[in-house]
Amino acid sequence: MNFQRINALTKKELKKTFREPAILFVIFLFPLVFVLTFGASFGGLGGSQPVYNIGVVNMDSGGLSQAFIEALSNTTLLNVHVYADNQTAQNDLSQGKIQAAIIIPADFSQSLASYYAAPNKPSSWVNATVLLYLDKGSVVATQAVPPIIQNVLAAFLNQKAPPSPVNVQIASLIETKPVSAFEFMAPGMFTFASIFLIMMVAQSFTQDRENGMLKRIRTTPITPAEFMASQVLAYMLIAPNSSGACFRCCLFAGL
Amino acid sequence: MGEFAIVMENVVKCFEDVVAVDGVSLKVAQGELFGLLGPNGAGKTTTVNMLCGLLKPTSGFVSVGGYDVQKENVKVKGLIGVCPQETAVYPYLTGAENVELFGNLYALDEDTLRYRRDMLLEKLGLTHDAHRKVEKYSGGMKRRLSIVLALIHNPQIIFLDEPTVGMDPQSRRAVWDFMRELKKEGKTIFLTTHYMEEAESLCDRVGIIDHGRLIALDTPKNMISQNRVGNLEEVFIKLTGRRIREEI
Repeated sequence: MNFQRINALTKKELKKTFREPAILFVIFLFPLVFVLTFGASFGGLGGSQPVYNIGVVNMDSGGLSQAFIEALSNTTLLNVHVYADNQTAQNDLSQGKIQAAIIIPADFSQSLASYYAAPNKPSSWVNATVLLYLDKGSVVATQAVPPIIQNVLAAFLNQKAPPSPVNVQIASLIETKPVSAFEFMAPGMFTFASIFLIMMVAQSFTQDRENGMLKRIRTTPITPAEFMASQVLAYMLIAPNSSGACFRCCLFAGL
Repeated sequence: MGEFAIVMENVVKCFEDVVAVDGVSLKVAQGELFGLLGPNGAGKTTTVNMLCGLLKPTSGFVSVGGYDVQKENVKVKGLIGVCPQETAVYPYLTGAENVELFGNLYALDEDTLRYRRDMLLEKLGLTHDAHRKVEKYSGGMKRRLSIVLALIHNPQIIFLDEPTVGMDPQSRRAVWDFMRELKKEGKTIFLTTHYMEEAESLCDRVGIIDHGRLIALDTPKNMISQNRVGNLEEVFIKLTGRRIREEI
């Protein structure tokens, strides 16, 4: 392996990328068009918000729990089904009919009443725990539902910040580590980069073959391994830029 | 290197049912300027491609610089400089960048590369345009640059495949002078052309190839006198019964 040769060909390939308008289009403009078209077709861009089906099991006989269920029903994001017992709700959850099940505990109303009586005195509150079961198969539901419930509860309590007498606890054995924008988009970006790489390398080869450059390079002492290494190196540098452009477009489009 | 720079012995090259080169044998001495003449499709480029190791002969033996082209391909590549028939230069690089790229492919050190780049661009009249992108060059300038790329590493054996096609007469003369200069430096030059005038004025010996067969091999003077004609063009007409076609 002679690095002088590899370096020279890699530089040449990079210069080509940034000097040829057609290639610049493929790297920077195509991702933008792709993301915007794809986003408009399938994403939340300008479309309606998704609605989650959730089941509610009310163990509390007080009026405040009914008011809380109404508050949940009033959000446009949730479609609330009331269940008489936990078992039926769990069955529907496992069958995918609902994406989450909320268990309102027996002391829910009492807890809220204690809070309303002395909002600034946490020591006098009766603490209660709302249990939340989530559909493990739905990544979106596990990410989206808990914050919605928290927000509805906070609004219901007229509360701007914790502490709260009612905790929302996730009962399922699933990890609810928040997924970053990068983690959410990375698989798509990597797929895009691979497709892009194949397309670009093939195009580069065909072009060089057509105009006789490949033949000319074959008359020099460069080995096939050195030639391939230069191509791989160049496109390893180009592909992240294209993916980065695509990623920025995704963020911009709010996907 | 041995006595002969280039040796071909009974070389045949077939492409499926077409015989492109049919039993060609020739020897080119060191320091000789040899011209291979023939119309388009006669087998000139196929012959050059076999000599450069780009094509494998169907049968026969080819050696360049004393090395078997098939077995010692890497050594041969270090010795030769090839200017192909196509104007193979990168259009998106500048003239100087093209030259530097090829210098690096031959692993030249920085000083040598800079010296040879400037010297060759100067000799072929490209210094002024060295930092312009090649896509802005005229056809003749691209061909001259193609010659520079072939010579950047100071090769001992040079293959020029129709180097002056499409050049204006002035550029052509300049390239001819340059070839004579290379010959003076002791380089072996294997030139293919279908310009009879070019072969007549430059070459020590010429071979005439038609339909893949080498039909004559001698000095231009001998060929003309033996056939009792006025020039090489008439030699070709006499030998093949037809006029050489010139298609660009």
